[in-house]
Amino acid sequence: MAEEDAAALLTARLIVRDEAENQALLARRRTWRESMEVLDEVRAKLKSPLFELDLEEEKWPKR
Amino acid sequence: MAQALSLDSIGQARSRLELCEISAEELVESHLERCEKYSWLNAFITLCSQTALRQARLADRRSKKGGAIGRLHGIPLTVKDVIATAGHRTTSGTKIDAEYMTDNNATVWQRLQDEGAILLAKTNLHELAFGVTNVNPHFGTARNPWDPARISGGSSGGSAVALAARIGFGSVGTDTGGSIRIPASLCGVVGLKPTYGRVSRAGVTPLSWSLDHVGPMARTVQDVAVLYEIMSGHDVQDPQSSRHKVEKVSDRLEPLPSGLRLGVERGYFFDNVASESLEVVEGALKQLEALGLELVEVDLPGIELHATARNTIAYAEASTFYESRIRGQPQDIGEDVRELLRLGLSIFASDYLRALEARRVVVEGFLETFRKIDVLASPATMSAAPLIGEEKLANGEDCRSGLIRAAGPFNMTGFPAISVPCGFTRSGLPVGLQLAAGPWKEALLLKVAYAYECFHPWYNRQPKIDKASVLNDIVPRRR
Repeated sequence: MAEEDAAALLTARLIVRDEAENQALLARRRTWRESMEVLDEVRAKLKSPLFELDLEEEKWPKR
Repeated sequence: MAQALSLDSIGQARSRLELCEISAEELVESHLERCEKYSWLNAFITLCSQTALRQARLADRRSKKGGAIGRLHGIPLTVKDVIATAGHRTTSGTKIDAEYMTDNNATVWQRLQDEGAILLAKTNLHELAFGVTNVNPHFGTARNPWDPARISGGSSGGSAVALAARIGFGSVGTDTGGSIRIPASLCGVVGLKPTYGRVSRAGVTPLSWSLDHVGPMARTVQDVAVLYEIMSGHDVQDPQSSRHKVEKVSDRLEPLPSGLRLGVERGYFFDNVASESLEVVEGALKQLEALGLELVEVDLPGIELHATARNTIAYAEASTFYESRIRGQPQDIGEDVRELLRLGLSIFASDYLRALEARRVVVEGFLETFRKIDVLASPATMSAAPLIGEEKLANGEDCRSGLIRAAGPFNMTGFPAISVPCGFTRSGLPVGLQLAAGPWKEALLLKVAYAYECFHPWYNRQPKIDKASVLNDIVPRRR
């Protein structure tokens, strides 16, 4: 988990000079990341598609 | 004089103006006096004294001439400082935009102004509207008039403080995770978050575009209804604005329809509520039952997903909007907000998308439940206002999550929700009752809130605002 967090900060170009601030952010990110586990099975609960592209002609903007 | 003029509701003030018992100028002067008297509550970022007095004189001249006047003619209001008002700075509560000026009014303020409202002041907020305490490192902490050692709640804290201190007859707030309802609850005023898309956000500083709402705050439900009616409706300048018809309600708050079903969800919304707040809210439920509503216990499928998904969406969207600022001038952003914005930048796209999927599940669950009930009742916050600097609420819960818990689901779903005062703790702190309804059912919500308010007009109780209790912490601040 710590490795993933550090990688995330690096990817997000978020390493800052203040080491204490980096550590505080990592701790907060870890807490958030753990909370994400509740969403692991969420796709199975979806009853409709997340993204719908509605291209029906009557919905086109009026000229 | 100042005291007396500040106590009226919009309706009462309008009557007195029409009967020429007072002038708009006198009314505005009396409210400006209170702004000065209670400046140490830090409710305001910018006082608009000169323009307010000029507008008031114009309003008086117009009244004398006769002819059509607006529904808010001569009524002083305040506006949260994320809402653009031509000729005044809009700081969004942050140093990075401390001098931001625009020539245009936000649509919501333009509509109120077109009805004759007078801008009294721009109110304080949690920096960037990204927090619930209103402890603002740049413009000071908004203090709760019921106990100035306590937080006002946020992020529309200054608006709620002003109303509780009898300054302005109403205010415009914004609500991304409860930012209208939380301070309304903690300060003992009424705050409505309308359905997503109901009130235009054009000219309003965004935080999280899919969770942001704009809505009215006032001392009474009737005043909230008046403001809501004026500010609502489609706006071509806001692509997310709805064309759904706005039902007229401010003069039709009675009678309460019969056969209404009042849902109560005992798991998420009533778990670990501070005992005194719980007692007060349970009392309000009994009173609603006495008014003829049928209490129904309900489940909300998917509610357990809400908090994580909402946080993820809010962090990611806010960080996207503020990316250049958080990278370019992080030192100018307060520590708590800076950390949240940085966290947002570190969120993977896959996590954001999973949060959107969860959001869909939560909305589907709410739609299912609201087919069985008309209104859902809960505490607006899990405790009354904590002391400034306190990290935990009276129920032991973390301050941020405990204040957002009840309000947040209605930002996720976009359903309308209102916080209405429902009593006080033994130490005299206000407690808010949250009522929520299905999409576009603001009129119903306002009717139920109004029926309750008529039964228990808590707005008659006023805080004895005591500076002595916090005198030592107040350091003079340059505006």
